[in-house]
Amino acid sequence: MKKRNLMIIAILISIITIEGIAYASTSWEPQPYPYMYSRTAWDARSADTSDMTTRGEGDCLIFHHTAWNFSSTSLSDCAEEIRDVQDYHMDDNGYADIGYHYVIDPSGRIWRGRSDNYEGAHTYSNNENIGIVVLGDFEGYWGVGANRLTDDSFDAMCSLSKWLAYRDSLDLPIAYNHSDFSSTVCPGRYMEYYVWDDLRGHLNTYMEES
Amino acid sequence: MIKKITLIIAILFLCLTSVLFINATTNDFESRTGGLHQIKDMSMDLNNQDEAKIIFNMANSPNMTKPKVTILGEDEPVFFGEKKVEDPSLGKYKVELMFTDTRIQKEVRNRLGLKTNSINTKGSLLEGSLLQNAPTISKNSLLQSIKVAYPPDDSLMVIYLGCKSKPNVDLQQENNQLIVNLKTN
Repeated sequence: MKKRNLMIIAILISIITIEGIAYASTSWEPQPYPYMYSRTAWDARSADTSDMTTRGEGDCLIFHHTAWNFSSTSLSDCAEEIRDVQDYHMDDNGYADIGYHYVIDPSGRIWRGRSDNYEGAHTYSNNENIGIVVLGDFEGYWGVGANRLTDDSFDAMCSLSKWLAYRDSLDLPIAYNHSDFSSTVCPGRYMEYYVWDDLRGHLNTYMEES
Repeated sequence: MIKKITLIIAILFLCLTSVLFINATTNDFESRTGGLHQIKDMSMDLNNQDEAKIIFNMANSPNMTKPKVTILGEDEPVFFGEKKVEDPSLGKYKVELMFTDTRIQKEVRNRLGLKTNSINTKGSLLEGSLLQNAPTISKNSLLQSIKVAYPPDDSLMVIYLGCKSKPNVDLQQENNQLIVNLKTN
C-alpha cells in the first residue's frame, strides 16, 4: 500500500515537473526566417560594445515608434532615417549604438539594429527584452498629423515576432507596447492597438506548439 | 435660409478656430526633436544666496506630467550614456528631474551637451554662454551645475541640478513654463 502511494506521488511529481518545464519554455513549431537587411545596408556606425551589457533571457518583444514623422518606402530614405536614429541615440543621448534591436519601415522591410546579443536602450529596466521600432510617428499632436501603420509594416511585425518567438521560445502573450511598461505614449495611438489586438490575436492563432 | 447661413458661418468659424489653435500650439514644435513635449529654452534666477529658480519654457505642455523629483547624495550614481556612474563634479547633492516624453530643442540641447555645466558664483556658466539670459551678478551659492542625461529608454530624459547643500524642491507649472524652485534645506 505504502509502495503504491509512493509511486503515485512520484508520478505526480514527474508530471508537475514536466508541465513546469513546458510552461517555462514553450517550444513552437519552426517559423520561417524573415529576410533582414544588415547593418551595412544602412551604413551603420560601429557600436561601442565596451559600453554595452550582454543580454540576458528576455521574455517578450517590446514595440516602439521613432516619433519622427516618416512615410517613405524608398530603400535609401529608410536607410538614411535609420542612420539618423542611430546618430541621435549615439550623439545626442550618449548611447553606445542605436537603441533598438530591429527596425521595420513603412514598406515592411526588416532591418537589423543593435545586435540582440546585447541589451537594448529602449525600455528602462526591461532592456533584456527585444526592442522593435517601426519608423514613423503614430501619435502626432492629439492624433493630428500622425502616420498610420501600413499593412506591410504590420505583416513584417507578425513575421518577425513569430520567428523571434520560435527562436527564443517565448511564451504568449509575446508582444507588448512600450506604454505597457511606463507612462509613455510610445508607440502612439495609431500603433498601440495593432500590437494589443491584431498582433496578439495573430500570434495566438498562428503560433502552434510543437 | 438665414438660419442655414448662420449655421454655415458658425461651422466655418469653428473649423478656422480649431486650425488656428492647432497651428498656434504646434508651430514652435521641432518635429525632428520628437517627444510629446519640448523644452524650448531655459533661464535662471540666481539672485538669492540660498535660493535658485530654474525656468523651463515649454512647447506643447498643457497636459504635461510634472517630472519625477529625486534628491541624490554625493555617492549616488547618475545616468551617463546607458549606464549609471558616480559624478562628483555635479556637486554634493543632485536634484534629479526625470521627464517622460519630453525632449530639449536642438539649440538648447547643443548648448548643454552631455557634459556637466558648471555655474560660477557670478551666475554665468564657466564654459561659454549656456543661458541666453544668464545674470552677470549673482549671490547664489546653492546651484552649482546642470547636466542632461538620457536613461536607456526612448521616452525618458533626466536633468540634474547639482547643489552645494541639500535643497527643498518645489515645482510649479504656469502656462507654458515649468518652474523649479530650489531652497537650502
